Amino acid sequence: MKQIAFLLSAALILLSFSGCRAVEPEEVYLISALGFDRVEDGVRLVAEVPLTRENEADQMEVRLFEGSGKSIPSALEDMKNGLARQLEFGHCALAVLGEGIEEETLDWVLECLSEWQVPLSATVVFSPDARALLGRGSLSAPAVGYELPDILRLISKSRGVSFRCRVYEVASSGGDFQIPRFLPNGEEVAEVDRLAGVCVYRQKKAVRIE
Amino acid sequence: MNAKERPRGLHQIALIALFTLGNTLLRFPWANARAGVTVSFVLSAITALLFGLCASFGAAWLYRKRVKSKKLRLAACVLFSIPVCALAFRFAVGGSRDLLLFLEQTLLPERTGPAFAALFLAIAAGFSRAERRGMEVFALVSFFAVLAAVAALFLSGVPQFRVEYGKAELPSLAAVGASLPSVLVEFALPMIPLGAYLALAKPNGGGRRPWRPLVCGILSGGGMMLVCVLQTLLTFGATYTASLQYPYSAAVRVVSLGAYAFRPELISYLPDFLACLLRVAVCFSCLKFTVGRFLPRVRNWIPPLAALLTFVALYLF
Repeated sequence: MKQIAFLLSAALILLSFSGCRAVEPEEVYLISALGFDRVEDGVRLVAEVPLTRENEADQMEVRLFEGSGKSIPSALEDMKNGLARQLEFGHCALAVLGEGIEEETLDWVLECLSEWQVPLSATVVFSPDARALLGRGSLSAPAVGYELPDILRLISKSRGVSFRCRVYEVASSGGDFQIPRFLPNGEEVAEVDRLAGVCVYRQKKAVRIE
Repeated sequence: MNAKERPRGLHQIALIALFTLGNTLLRFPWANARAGVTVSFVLSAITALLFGLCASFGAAWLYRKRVKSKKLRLAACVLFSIPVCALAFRFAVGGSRDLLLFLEQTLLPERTGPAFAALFLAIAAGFSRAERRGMEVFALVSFFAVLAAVAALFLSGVPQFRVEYGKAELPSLAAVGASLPSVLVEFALPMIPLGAYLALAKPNGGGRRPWRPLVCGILSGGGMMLVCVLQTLLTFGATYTASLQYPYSAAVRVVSLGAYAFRPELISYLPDFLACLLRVAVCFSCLKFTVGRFLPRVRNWIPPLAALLTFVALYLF
């Protein structure tokens, strides 16, 4: 009897693990993508948040929250001001590096992604203007954050090209890496044509587009 | 021979293997290990084996009245029991703290409070207070579950492996020397309370080869640990791994099972939880048998008391 009680208790604890950081979806903003832009006096942080309207489960509204600051944590604080709910980064599937996110700023970005517990398997892409890319909206998926990784998967499958552009692949590269480049314009083009080359980084610096 | 006292090799191997894995899986000292990690790991596994055997035979020899002088025997037992109890308590607190911190920081930031800790410690104390058979049967079932989880996650992680991370150069003696102490503390030192527990609990019921389950168990646990270390190393490389707080957990989170099953997190928490639970339970059992030699009347109250002290240590110190 004791054994059964212990087994049941252990199973109960294990089952309680299968949550989503113990928060209800209505209490948080689930971020699907993050954008980092270099601005004159620091960094601009943009978060894409898909929201489901009440009583309309199939209607998805996508909102962008943004904040600026001299560092990324201060930009996050700026973004949080006025938000009614907490931000949850565990569902973030995309990080967009804007122009000028290099060297020290790139280290900050990677540190913050780790600290905020953004999944290490999230995709990292380059865009000249991260806010514009995220603000442009998606064609097929509910949000840009979910659409661009799908596009990359599709291209990898159809063309046999392998992209090493996940957060941990970028972070473990030592500063030499290549990430897909997406442009915010071109609303009429087909999904796969939105990929506009690859941005090559050497020593944490964007050196050329291929 | 009573059925309950018959040798149960496989059960013990499972228990020892999971104890070996314990919270070492969570806090393997990557930051110190770096380039010397694999060599340090192998050296630590050998040392763990030696520590376990010495503690097991040492305890058996001391407590089976082979020292003729009563005073000398008592002195030797006390001198042996105090460090063993200190280590058992240290690893019980360490194992609980590591698991709770891990859950708080990664999965359940608002739920991993004192109530959760109390439940966890109560289960561990319950296992160590009940008959050994209960803990060993649970260990056997858990062992196969953990083995399946580790193997499945490793195989699913193969596509993410990078061959260049596996081509590490042989580290210098200085690198191994720098990494060895911390790896030893996490991997080899817990074998002392385990060895004492195995000897004092008479695990083989008078079997001919009492060392066999210990050797097989440490090798099985070390083997699973090696698979986890290799998975982490081949996914992230030694340098990036050193910057991560929970490297193995991070390595299995980037695994996807097919095109739709991403982040098989529940599977990866199974080894962490079960290994920590059994390590804490064995530490409580070690305290029970070691202190119980001197205070047989209160023996069954030692695990709940140890759980209470562990709880106090977790939240007051």
